[in-house]
Amino acid sequence: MNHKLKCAIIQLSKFEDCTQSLMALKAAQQLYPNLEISIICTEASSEAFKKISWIKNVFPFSHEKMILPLLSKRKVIDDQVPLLADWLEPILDETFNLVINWTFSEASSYLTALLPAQIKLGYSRKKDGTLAILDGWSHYIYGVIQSDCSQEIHLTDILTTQLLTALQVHFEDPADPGKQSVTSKSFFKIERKEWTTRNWNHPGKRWITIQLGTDASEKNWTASDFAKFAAMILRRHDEQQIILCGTEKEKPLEKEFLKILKIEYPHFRDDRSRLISMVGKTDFDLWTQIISDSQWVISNKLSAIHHACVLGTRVISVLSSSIKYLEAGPYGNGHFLIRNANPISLYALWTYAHTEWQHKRELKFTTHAENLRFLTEIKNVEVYRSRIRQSEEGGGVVYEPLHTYEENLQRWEGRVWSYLARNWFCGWTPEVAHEVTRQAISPELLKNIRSLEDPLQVLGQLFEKGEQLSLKLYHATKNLKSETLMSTEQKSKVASLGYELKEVESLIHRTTHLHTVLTPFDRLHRSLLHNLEGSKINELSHSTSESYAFLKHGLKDVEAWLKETLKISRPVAVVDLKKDNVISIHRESIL
Amino acid sequence: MEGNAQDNQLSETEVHFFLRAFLRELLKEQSNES
Repeated sequence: MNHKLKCAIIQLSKFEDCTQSLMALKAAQQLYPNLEISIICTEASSEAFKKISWIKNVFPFSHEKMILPLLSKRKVIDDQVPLLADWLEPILDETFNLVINWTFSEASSYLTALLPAQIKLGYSRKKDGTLAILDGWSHYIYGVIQSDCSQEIHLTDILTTQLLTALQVHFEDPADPGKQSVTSKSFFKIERKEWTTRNWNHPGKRWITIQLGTDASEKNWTASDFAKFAAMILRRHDEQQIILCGTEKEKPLEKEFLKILKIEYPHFRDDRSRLISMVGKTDFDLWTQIISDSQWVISNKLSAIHHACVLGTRVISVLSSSIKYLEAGPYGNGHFLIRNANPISLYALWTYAHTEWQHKRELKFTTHAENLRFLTEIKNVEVYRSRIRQSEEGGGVVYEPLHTYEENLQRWEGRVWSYLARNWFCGWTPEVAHEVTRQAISPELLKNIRSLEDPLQVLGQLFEKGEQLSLKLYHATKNLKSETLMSTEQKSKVASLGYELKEVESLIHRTTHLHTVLTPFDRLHRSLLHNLEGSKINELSHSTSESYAFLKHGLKDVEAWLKETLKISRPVAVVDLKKDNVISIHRESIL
Repeated sequence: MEGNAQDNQLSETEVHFFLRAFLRELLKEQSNES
C-alpha cells in the first residue's frame, strides 16, 4: 500500500450531510492509509473540512460568487462560465483514481462528468447530457431513498459500504483496521479557548448543550418546549449546567426560550450561571469545543446532532414529524432518538439516559417513567437507543425501541427495503421478517399488506414478461450484421418486441404508483433501464433482461416478507406436550 | 453495477455544455429552496 489512491468527493449538500460523509471517509481512511482525499464542497462547509488533518485538499465552491449574481439577475449564465472554469482548473489538474459524488443531485452530476477519473460512483452525466447512475447503491439512493418510501439503513452505512466496496473491488484489499474508533474528540484540529464560560472545567459540574434551531420538517417542537425541559433540569439537578447554542438566525428563538424559562424557573433571575447562552457568539472552533466538552447534546437540529456524533458526545435527538428518521439519526453507540416528544417525556428520557451507569439498562424505560409519575406523558412517545451491530449481525447502526410499538406499514416497508438492499448489495441478510413480532402486528397493518398481494402478483408477471421479451430481442438481434440494414421481417419483429417492452414499462408504472412500498420498483426499473450497459441492440437487450432478473429477485423478497408476516400473525395453538392435547389458542391480532 | 470506468475525453463543446448545465441546475435548485 505504498502507492497513493487519489479520491475526490463531491459533497455540495448541507453541513449535516457533510458530517455523515466524514464518518464514512474516516472509516475508509483507517482501512486505506494510502487514501489521499480531496473534497469539493460548499464554502460554508469548507471550514470544517480544512480542520481535518487527513484531508489533503479542500475545493470550496462559492454560491455567493457563482450563483447569487444569477439569482439577482445581475449576471447571466454565460457570464459565469469563465469563472466556473477558473475554479475548476486546479481540480482538473489532479488525476483521480476515484471520484464519488455524494451530493446525489441533478446539478452535481454535471461536475462528476467533468472530472477525469479511473472509476466514478454516484450521479453523473452521459455524453448526451442525460443522468447516469453509476453503481448499485446510487440506484438504491435514487429508487428508494429519494422516493416517499421508508428504509432503515443509515446513510453513513450506505456511504461507507459503497466506498469500501469500490476500493476493494477496483483497487486493493484493506489494511488491518485494528480497533480504532471512527469518532473522536480530536476529530477537528481546532484552537481551543482556555475559557468557555464560568464553571466550564469544574470537575463537579456537568454541561448539557441545547442547540436551538430547527430543520424545515421539524416544526412541532419549539424553543419554549426546550425552555420547559431546561427548567425541569435546573429545578431538579443542582450539578447540571446548560449551555444554549445557535447561530445569529436563532436569536428570536433564544429570546422566546429565555422568556419561558424565567416563568418556569423563577430562580434563574438569581442564578444565571447555570444556564449560559452562546447563541450567535460561537465560531466553528468554539462551537466544536462546546459540543466536544459537553456530556449531552440535545437538539432537533441535524447539524448539531451529527457534529456531536463525530466528536463522540452523546446525543438525544428530538424528532417530532420526520418520517425518515432512521436513515439520518444520530450515528454511533448509546445515542437516543425521541419522536412526538413533550418537555416531560424528554426529561424522562434524559434522566433515564443519564443514569444508565446506575441501572445498567436493566430498568425498563416505562418503569422509569412510572417511577417519575410520568407514565401518561410518555404514552404516545417513541423512544429509540442506537447501537452499532457486530459485523456478524450485519454491521451498521440500528435503533432499538425502548418500549413496544405497533408495527405500521411505514415501519414494515422500511424493514422490507433495508432487507432487499442487504440482499442485493451486501450478500448478508437476516432471516425474513425476524424483527416482526406477533404482538406488534395490528389489524390495520394486516389489511394494508394484504392489499399488496394482487399488485405483487401482477408486478411479478410484468417483470417475468419484461425479462422474456428482452431475451427474445437479444436472440433476434445477436446475429445481425448491421442494426440499420435488416430484412423487413426482422425489422418488424424487433419493432414489435420493442413496442411490447414499452407496454410493460407503462404497466409497471400503473401497477406500482398507488402503493408507496412498491413505488421504488418503478423508480429502480426506470433508472436501471436508463443506465444499461452496451451500445448495440443485442447488448442493451441482454442488459435489460438482467435488470428484470434483478427486480424479480427483489420482488420475491417482498413476497417472502408478506407471506412470513401473515404467517406470524396467525393464531397459534399451544400444545401441552405432556398431555399432547391443545390447551389454548393465542389470538393476539384480529385477522 | 460496481462503478463505471468513464470515458473522460470530453470535447470542448461538451465541457462548455456541462459547465452551463451545472450552473443552470444549481440556479434551479437555489430558486426552489428560496
